[in-house]
Amino acid sequence: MIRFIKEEYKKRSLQWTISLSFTAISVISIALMAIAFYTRSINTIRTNTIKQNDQIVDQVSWNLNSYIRNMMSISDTMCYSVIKNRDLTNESISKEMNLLYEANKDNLTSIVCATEDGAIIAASPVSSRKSGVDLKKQEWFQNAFDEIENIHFSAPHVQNIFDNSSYRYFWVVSLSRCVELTNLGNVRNGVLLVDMNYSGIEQMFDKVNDGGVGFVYLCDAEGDIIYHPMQKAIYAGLVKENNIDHAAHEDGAFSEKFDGQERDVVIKTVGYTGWKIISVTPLSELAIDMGQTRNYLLMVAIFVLLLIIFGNNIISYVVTDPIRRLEESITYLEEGALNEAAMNEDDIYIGGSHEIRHLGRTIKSMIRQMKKLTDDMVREQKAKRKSELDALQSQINPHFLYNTLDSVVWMIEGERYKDAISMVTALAQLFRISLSKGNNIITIHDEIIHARNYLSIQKVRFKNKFSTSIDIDPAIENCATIKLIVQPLLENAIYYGVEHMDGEGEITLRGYEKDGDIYISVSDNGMGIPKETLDTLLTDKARSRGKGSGIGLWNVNQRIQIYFKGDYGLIVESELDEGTTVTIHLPKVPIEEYRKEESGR
Amino acid sequence: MKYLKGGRGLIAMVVLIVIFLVTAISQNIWSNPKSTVRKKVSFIAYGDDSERWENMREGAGLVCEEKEADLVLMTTLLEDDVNEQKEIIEREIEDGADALIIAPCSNEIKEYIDSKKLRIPVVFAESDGSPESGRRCISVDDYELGYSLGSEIAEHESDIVTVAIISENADIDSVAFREKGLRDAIEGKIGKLINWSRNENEETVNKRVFIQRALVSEATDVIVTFDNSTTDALLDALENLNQKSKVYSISTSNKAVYNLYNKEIIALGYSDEFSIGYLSAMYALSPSEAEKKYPDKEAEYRIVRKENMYDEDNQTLLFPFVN
Repeated sequence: MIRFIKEEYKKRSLQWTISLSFTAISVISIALMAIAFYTRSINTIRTNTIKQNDQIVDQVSWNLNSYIRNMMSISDTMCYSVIKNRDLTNESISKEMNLLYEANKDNLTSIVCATEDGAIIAASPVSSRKSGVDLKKQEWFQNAFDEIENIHFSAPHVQNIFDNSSYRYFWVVSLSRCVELTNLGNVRNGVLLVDMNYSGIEQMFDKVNDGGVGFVYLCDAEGDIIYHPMQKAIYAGLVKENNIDHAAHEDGAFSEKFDGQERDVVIKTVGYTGWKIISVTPLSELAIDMGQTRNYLLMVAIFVLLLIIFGNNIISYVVTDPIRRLEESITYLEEGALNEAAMNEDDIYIGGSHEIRHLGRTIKSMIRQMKKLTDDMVREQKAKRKSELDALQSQINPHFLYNTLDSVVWMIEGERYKDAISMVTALAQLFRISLSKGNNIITIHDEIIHARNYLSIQKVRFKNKFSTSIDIDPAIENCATIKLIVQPLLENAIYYGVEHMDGEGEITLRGYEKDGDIYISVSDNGMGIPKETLDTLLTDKARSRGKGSGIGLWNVNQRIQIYFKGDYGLIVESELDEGTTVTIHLPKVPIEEYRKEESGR
Repeated sequence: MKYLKGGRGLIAMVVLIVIFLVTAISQNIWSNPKSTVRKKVSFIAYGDDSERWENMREGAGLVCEEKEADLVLMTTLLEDDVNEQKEIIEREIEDGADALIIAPCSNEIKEYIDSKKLRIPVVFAESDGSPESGRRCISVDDYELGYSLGSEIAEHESDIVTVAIISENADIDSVAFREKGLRDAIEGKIGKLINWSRNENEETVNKRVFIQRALVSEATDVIVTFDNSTTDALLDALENLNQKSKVYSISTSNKAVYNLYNKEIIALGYSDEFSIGYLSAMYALSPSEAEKKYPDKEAEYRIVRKENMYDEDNQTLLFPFVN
């Protein structure tokens, strides 16, 4: 995988690589920042919520304490200021009880004073007692005698003492205590009941739970729920609450998982009653805020990322464009522009930062040097080629001279002075053409004259052992040819074709135009060339070691190809016992045109 | 924008920004989450006594509050006015109710709802229905409730006692199931079973008057009622006639609870209407959550006597908190 990524990386442009790398780094950085910020925000939200709930719990606790103290003060007033030391045989407590009730009736349902037998001594408001109700069996009554010095708070319950014909019922929290009742000087225990209106507590908590996240509920020390916003649903078993555990828990804040929910809990115990105010904040409710924060962060991160991608693109472009343009100009050079005459080193791009400008200038200088070196090489190559050609030609001159002088010597020895004079004359004419004012390129006309002279010399030497025929198309006579290329072919035709023939030899020289090219063929009717020899005739290895200088066909072919290139050169065809034809293939270039081009160079 | 290769980069940027904006809008991140549109749940019941539905409304209301939906309670003027209930349903659908909770006054309402093929969730409260019917019905097991009350009669009354059953509102399937359960429970265990039902001439007679006539015309030891309005009418009739009788009743009215302690009602079958409302709303607003949390969707019922009505468990059921 890493290898694949590396390979892919190598294939991409520098701009792409820079842009992608910066983007990847940006994505990682932004993601890490966003995660860190999100985590921090979430923790802050949770901490703030806990703090806020702590404050709410404190506030509720304070309110509830005030409420309970108020109720307790009613109980205390009744107990110590009204009931205690009053002989109930002669005096009534109803008046004071009614006054207290009237003063606090918003928070009270009733005040009842009963004997330890369950008989009601006084009650406010005045109402008919339900038939069959036995106070002694009621929980609040029994609690009062458990610890007689204490005030006891009951769980919420429906008051079941007085009749209410309007079918109303009252949920109350009973505050009961044992009191001393005096009758005719006899003191015996009784019970004072102050029924706190449950709706007072309910309203207090409803206000707190109205809005905001989470909820606050109240339970007693045993975990029995006194108030809960979902109280009915809890009673119906539709909703669960961790009230038993909360009641056993110490005051403070903590997190818990209950019924599949993560929750932050704050607990505070209300003094005297042992009730617990519990604030619960399910994280799912905070999730709205968390979701907001997450979405906000996500959107900001995406937006910033878009800007960074855009910025990366621009920066990578600005950084890499000079390199790209420099690379393009170098690619142009690579594609061969270097050899074009139009190529100018000024085409090399120089721009961008100083490093790239320096690089451009260096490349430009390098190209200038390369171009100079290349020119030098071309010049040297041309010189080399010319010197090689000159060498080749210089190889011909002694070869030809050797043969001719050999013939002249042979004639003089045979006292054939006339023939020798004729041959020397022909030789002189041959050299005149050979010199050609130093030109290597001459007309076909001159070359043929040269061939004629050569043949006339050889015919004398070989005592007219062979006959010759020359047929040159006048249309090609004014065309250019390399000088001294026909003569070696004639020489070969003589030495290898007709010299050792029993009958009369025949050498035919033809010049003609075909398909826009010039063909000059030399044919003999000699013994022909074996195929294996024929195949190697034009190679370097075929250089003759026999008669002559051994430079015949190979030399001529090389010269033609050096001057004219392409498909030009020699074509050798031979049949054993039939003869051989060697054809020179030349481009058709009038001598004037050639000289014009030559002077243009 | 030549920096971005001939406009392709620009198009890509525009596309990305559009995606960004669409996502931002769809995520609703710039707006207050509490400003989202609240759903409307219509609770359509029957009878002009809206207090009759208070417990159920409160249960449904708790869920609606939790799910940020609005609950609207609509009742008919008459208990058995099918057409009016249909009209209310029509009106609520037209008004864009997102879910319906219907306490049908007749089985005809269920068929009517089936025929409408509504796309919004419909829950039948206090109505029995098998899962095969495809209807979502939330109620107590009314047959069992009736059977339990009948068992109470059989257990506490002598085997020669005469029991009168007041067959009112028999169109309401919960009432029909209760009656059937009770009949099955007392069959062969009592002296005589008489049926007080209206004849053709009494169709329009006031319920209390009809019961008074029955009380006067036929002597009985035990009287049984199966719904709130009939129970209240019976209690009124007994009071008017200053007559004493043993009443076994299924009702959730305050009057019935009051009379359970003070007067005639010997045993009261009491269903947990708060739970019915709660579950109905839960199934109406979040069916999958309801299926997961409350797969056994029946509400609870109790048979309560004077002796145990103030027990801790019973008092929370019989005396709901009044918020």
